[in-house]
Amino acid sequence: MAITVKLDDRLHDKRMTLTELAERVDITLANLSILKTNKAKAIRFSTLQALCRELDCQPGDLLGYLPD
Amino acid sequence: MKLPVNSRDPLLSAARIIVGLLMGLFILVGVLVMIGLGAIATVQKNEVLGKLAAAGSGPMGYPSVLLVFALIAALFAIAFLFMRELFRIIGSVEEGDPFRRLNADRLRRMGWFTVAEQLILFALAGIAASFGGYRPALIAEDAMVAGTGAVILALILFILARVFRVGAEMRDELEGTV
Repeated sequence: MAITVKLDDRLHDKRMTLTELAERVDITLANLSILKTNKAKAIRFSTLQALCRELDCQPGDLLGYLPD
Repeated sequence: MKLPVNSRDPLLSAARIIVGLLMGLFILVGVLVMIGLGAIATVQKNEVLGKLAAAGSGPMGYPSVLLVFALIAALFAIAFLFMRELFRIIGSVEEGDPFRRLNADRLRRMGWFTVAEQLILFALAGIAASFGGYRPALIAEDAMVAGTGAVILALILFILARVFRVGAEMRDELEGTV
């Protein structure tokens, strides 16, 4: 798992639930859950852009890299 | 990920009906040929032997007739299997999910069925030539025309199988995209 998604931290900072974020970025809760649990194979720029907009952050705040 | 497909697509509906009818026809003819084979191997054996002797056939005449019937039955059985795979592929297109590894395997099998059919046809032509009623020039011409078509069809099916396999891999990747 080289790339990690740090949604939890940002959601906590913004006092927002995953359901609320799913509604705001217009993607399903199931897909957002896949992203949150690092099970996604890829992320669209449009999704990343919506997440950054709603969580008021930069892509680097959401994504991390863990060397194997 | 399922693609939106019109379930009342006239092409798919027509293909389903035609392929279904052909499957039924191939089963029927295959069964009739098998019944014929059973008959000439048992109750009509003496009659066939008599006709072959009257026609001046050698000792290989009767086994050749049995072999021809068996090969024709095999031909229809393989044709049925080919159509069954095609019928299932049409079904997957109607469901809006054709890019499956299963369909790639089906296309590959259809390619091998085409090769097998052609080999049987060559064997039948060889037997026909041994009877002497089928001119060698005609056999060569038939083999050239039918053989070329079969080789092209088999190649297309094998290549399509690869295309579907790549398509299935791409779909898997797309499914993991959020």
